[in-house]
Amino acid sequence: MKNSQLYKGSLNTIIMKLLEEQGRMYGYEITQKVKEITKGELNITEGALYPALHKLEADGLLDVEVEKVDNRLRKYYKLTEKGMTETVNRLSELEEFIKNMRSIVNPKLSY
Amino acid sequence: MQLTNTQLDLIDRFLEQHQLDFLDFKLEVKDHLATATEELMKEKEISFEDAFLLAVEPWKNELQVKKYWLISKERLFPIFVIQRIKNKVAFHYVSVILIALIGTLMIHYLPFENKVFKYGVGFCGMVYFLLRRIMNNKKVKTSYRFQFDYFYLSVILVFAYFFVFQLSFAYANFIGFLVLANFPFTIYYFVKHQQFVEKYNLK
Repeated sequence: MKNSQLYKGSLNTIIMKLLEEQGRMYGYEITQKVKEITKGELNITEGALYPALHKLEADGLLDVEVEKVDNRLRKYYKLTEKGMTETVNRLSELEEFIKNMRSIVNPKLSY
Repeated sequence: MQLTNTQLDLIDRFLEQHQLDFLDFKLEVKDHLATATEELMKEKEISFEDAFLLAVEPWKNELQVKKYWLISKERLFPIFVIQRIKNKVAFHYVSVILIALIGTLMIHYLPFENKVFKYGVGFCGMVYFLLRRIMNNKKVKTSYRFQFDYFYLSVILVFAYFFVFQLSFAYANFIGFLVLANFPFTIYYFVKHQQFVEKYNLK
């Protein structure tokens, strides 16, 4: 993942935000969607994505659906009700963080 | 471009060569690699073999195999699996051993008789073998099944050995408490395994 320390803390929020928009997604789809949105700037590694997905699932924020696609089983992730509430909280927290960072990095632009 | 069953089998074999045989991890990685391979074949117009080599590149570190003594002394696991289960396994063993130690030290103050203790251990052992039989009906390998068996089977057999040969009861108490303390974990792994089998509709 690019600039890992900066992005690491936001990985769960990125995943939850994508799932909020898309409804349900599978692992590979998430990595490609992030790449597409950020025009290749942000590359979520497999080693970071799956532990995050499994942790969110264990915390009850994600639910899993399994479907047979092209002769193999595919695991789809979607937000639970608890996950939806948590997404709203985490997004507002992230927005606040970005606002504060902007004020610190570029005080002239903040008002 | 959809992969053929033979190509999917090759991915399967590749993952098993890297000791990724627990289905609760393997199925997801297999789908990820297969999808990435399909996309690369289409995008770059290359063969399955070339596309697969590119698809597997980001997994190189995750699929490296290592021995991790806490999970098993006998076999290797890919780093991907070790990272996922090592904390759970550590929590499991530490709590079981601690409870067993406390139980053994306090046995004289505990409100049950020796007979009840033995029946309790016997009951846990019987339930374990019953659940094991149910699990063995379907040959599905998961990390839950591995953890269900790995520690408990040996503990129960050691207790049975102490019991049959009427060996030193201080040790037998400790082993008995190990059986009791491990029982909730056994049930947990059994339930998780069954849920997985049901969700994936595996036979």
